[in-house]
Amino acid sequence: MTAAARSVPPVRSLSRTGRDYLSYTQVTTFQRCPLKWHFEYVAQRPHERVGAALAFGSAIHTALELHFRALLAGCTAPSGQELLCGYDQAWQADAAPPVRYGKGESARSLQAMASRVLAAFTGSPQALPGGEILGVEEELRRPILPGLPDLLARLDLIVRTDSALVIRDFKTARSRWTEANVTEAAPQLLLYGDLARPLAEELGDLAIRLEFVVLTKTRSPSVAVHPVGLDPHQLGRIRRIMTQVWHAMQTGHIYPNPSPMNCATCPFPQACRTWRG
Amino acid sequence: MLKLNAGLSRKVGEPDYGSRGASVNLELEVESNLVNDSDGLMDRIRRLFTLARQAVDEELGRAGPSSAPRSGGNGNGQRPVTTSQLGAIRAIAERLGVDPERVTRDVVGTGLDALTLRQASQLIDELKRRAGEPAGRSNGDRR
Repeated sequence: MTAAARSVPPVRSLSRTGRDYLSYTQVTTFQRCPLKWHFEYVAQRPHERVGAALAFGSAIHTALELHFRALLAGCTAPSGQELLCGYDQAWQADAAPPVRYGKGESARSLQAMASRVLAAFTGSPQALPGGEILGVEEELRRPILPGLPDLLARLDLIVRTDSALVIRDFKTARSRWTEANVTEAAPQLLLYGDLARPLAEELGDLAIRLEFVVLTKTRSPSVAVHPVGLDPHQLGRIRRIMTQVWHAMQTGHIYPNPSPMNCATCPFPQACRTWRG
Repeated sequence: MLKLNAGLSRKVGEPDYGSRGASVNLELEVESNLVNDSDGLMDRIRRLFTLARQAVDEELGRAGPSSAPRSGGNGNGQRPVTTSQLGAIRAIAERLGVDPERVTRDVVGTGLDALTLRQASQLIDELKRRAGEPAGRSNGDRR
């Protein structure tokens, strides 16, 4: 923590965002559609529906969490069937609102997909963290920007190797990631790396390595690692953007930002249509 | 006028079986018609507790190395154990049928509340060794 990075009083943050912290998801939600952000974080409306891709990704994360927590606790890696049970349980929990499926999708087809994705994962080198696991779905929180609430993030996997502290974020995707996908998603990992810096310092100033691990939802799922370079200019940019978004949140200027991409997966279609402005 | 009173106390472990605590009590006068607005009243109470929590956290964070918020970090060189490590320590201790607090004191000489990241790593290795499992830096090895 830098001496200058004092967070704003939580009451102010609470009254603006409904939470006493800021998350990367919250910021990107506001960027994409301020009205969705308002419904989610200020009004805290229940979701009218959930996108199948979101519920799927979340359930796969639960299965991966199960896997790495077992390894951390010195247990044998769970079998594919055990991981699929973890997926099923999370799916049931996440799919409480009506699920909006894509073309040709159903709960059953997605479960079959989950089975293939998890088999690809357990058979890949990524199932072995390659070092000492320090955190699985680990929540990190600290003030990283002066005048902003604390940044809070849940890091999928934190691994210590001999030479680096590795921050690994797992994604599910329709197809293999391109360089453009990595560039677009990089700010999230750069912020997470910044958040984890004190951990690296504690461990003898270890270098920080950032990696996306992308599991494709394809007939033959693949597992690919995409490193993200520690670019200080890019980090500075995302920090400035977060500051600007925070100021924008405080102005209370809320408006919908309709687009096929935003609206197709929005959990508040009805509330949006009836919103009077 | 209505008075809200919120109090919060917290204690953190220190090396050598010590501990340190901080408590704060806040009193606030609010409009009396809030009694007819249960949501509004609860919101004010929540805010009061949030302030109290922050004050206690700050006090404990300022006073010493072992008081850093879990996983939050204060950059003072005594990074606390991660919640994942703590969960692993409890899980392995349970498998071994030992009390996690006691075995922590036996192995690293401090309580669970005061564990650092490095001490937690050392303890997990030791517990795995006792459980007959491979320890060390490769806890991800598949068996």
